[in-house]
Amino acid sequence: MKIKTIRIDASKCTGCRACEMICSAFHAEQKYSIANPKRARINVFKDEENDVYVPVLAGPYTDVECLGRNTVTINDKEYGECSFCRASCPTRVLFKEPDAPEIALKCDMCGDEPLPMCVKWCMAGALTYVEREEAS
Amino acid sequence: MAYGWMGSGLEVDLTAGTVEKKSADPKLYESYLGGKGINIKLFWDRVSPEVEPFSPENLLIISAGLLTGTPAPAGNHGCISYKSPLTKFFASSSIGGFWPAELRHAGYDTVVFSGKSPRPVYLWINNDQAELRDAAHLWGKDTKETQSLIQKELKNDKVQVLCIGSAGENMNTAATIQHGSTHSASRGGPGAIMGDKNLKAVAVFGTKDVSIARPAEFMKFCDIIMEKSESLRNYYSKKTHRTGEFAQEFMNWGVFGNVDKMPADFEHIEARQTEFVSKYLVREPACYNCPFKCLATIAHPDVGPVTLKCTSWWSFMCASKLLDLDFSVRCLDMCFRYGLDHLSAANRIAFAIALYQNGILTKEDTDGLVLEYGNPEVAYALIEKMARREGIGDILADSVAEAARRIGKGAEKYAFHIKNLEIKFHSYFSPYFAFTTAIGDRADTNCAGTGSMTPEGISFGMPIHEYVQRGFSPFPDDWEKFLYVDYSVNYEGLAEVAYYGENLKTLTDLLGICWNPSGFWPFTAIKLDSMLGLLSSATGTDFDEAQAFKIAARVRGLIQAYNVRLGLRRKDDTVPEKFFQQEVVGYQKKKGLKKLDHDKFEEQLDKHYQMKGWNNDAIPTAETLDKLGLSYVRQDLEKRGIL
Repeated sequence: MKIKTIRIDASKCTGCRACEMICSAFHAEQKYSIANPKRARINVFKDEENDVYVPVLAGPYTDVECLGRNTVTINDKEYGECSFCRASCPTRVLFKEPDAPEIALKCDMCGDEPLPMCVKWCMAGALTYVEREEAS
Repeated sequence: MAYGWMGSGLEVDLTAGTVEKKSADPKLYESYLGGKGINIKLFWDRVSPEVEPFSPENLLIISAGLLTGTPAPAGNHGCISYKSPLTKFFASSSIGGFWPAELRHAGYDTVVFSGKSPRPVYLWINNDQAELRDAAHLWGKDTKETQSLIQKELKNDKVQVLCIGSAGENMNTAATIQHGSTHSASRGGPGAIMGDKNLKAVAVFGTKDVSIARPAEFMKFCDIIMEKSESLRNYYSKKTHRTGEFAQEFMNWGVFGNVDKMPADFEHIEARQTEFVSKYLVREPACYNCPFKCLATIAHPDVGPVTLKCTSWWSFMCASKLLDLDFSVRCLDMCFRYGLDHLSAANRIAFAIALYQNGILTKEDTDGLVLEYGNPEVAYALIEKMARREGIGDILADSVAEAARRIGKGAEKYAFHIKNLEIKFHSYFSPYFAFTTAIGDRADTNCAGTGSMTPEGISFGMPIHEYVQRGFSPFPDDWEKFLYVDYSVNYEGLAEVAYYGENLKTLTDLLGICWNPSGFWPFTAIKLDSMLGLLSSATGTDFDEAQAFKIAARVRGLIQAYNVRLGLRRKDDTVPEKFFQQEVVGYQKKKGLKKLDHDKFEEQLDKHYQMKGWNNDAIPTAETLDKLGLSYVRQDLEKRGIL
């Protein structure tokens, strides 16, 4: 089985959100006919004040909120329980179609494209693409 | 709705406390495209020239560019226009970051603020809902705290905020509108207009699409730009902040392009900045959807991360003649928090120190403060006093020109400004730099001027041949006549180069494309043909160079006509007299710079006006106005006896 991975190097992220923009444009009904980061399957978590930038890819859909949660502390600042979560879940609006919240958004690695579009547009090298074979 | 535009604007009456959504006239878009173009047209129609900057009748208009929020790389800018309390003319300040794109996603191209709120408020735009909210609890808070408090209050960390700090609240004419950690609309005092209107902030969040008419074609141009960016993006950051290479150049020009010598240790600035950066640089952030990385985040051990850009590195070191990067970062952090333009603030500090050193100001005028070079505390104290309008800071808060008038005793000799706007510390002995600054629509080339801002002219001492060969030059590749001229000494061709540069710059302002990768440097990732391609495929209407530049000329002509009614004439299109009078010494002399030649300067000005279709007193002619579709302007100027 081919495992597709996007590696995230948060220290290289410039916070430009080109990944969000191009993701939304690529996945538009007519490719590239619109741009709208709120429809993206990737989200850059940003705290400019404290120099924290973390791209988060949309993961699985869940219809109930989770019970086991965690917080993350970076440079003495504690970040909320959902800050770096990948789930499309009832507790928040992230990773859902803005006009139709019942539709969850999930990263599909841009299907057959040679590179996921977010990786292609990430000039900073914060996102890189790695493929590997794994016995199923 | 036409493609490319959102089609609506918000009309905010601060006196009545009402917010109304309005559909825009498609003709407005066709004739003025976006950004600065929309702003000046609305301003012309609604604000008579007699209106005082600080009055409810003055408007503050914010428009995103036509390509803002589209996939166009660096398509992230907006334009804020107002009658400036500093220059007293119509002025525009460009702003990048994330706010302008968010406005488009909320469904709007433009927000117009009129009137004056009886108490501090902020505007909250959430898609179709927009309301004025109480801001009493935010008044007095610094700009970083304000943004974070608003995001918490609205329970949404994706909300983008424009806001003012103490400088704006106290109507300092150098007050900026701040956004994010470092982005600002500056150089004309837009923050003071917000302060006068009791408008603390504008918060926006949107989930709507920005649409493209011909997507496949549009993306082809995006790909060209991305490919060029990959080759160029490291170059800029290396030059400006990673190595301090430019620092050396700037410092050697002396205080505000003056012939004043800098202390000897400034010879080591390149090494000092390189060392400082290697120790403290933690990130090179970018604005929305931009492949460049113009900013530099410094992890300051005391004040926390501070994000700097471009010449801000050196303003305060120049003003205080103090080689100390830690000092510089602290000053900038204060300016960002107070919402104060670092260029004007540093110029005002240099002005005050010079007055003190020459006996024009004494301890009695400065609340006991000894204004001296080399002392960081002087700058810290003056920044705070200016932001709060306390003591000497109250006088400096108006402008060096106004302060010189109030102080008298020959103070004007030390007041360096163009059309009242304080000059930067660059060398105006360069004919290119002086000329392009003089003819700009805001007396300043930094983010609203023409061509690249260098003493060497187009080439900036860089290998221009190579850029041309590789297709990176912002100017037409067949410009043999101009491309290889050293404009640090030459005048011939300035009129033409400035004419092209200004059209190009104006077009980027209408499109919302950042000027930095589109024409500011002698190497550029977003060339004119790419911009025309993006414009045509976004709107579905084809534009060639002639058509696009005609719109740029219409916008520039309209701005000129507005300001001509306020008395702007050829005499104002100049630089401080000392650059024509004083002999060049030291480093600048070694570089071959000379004092400006009055006759040659004027000769180029004649030619430049002629190219624009203006008469030799900088007034657009009746024929030009008619040709540009500005007959309504011609009629107004005729009625006033100007034409």
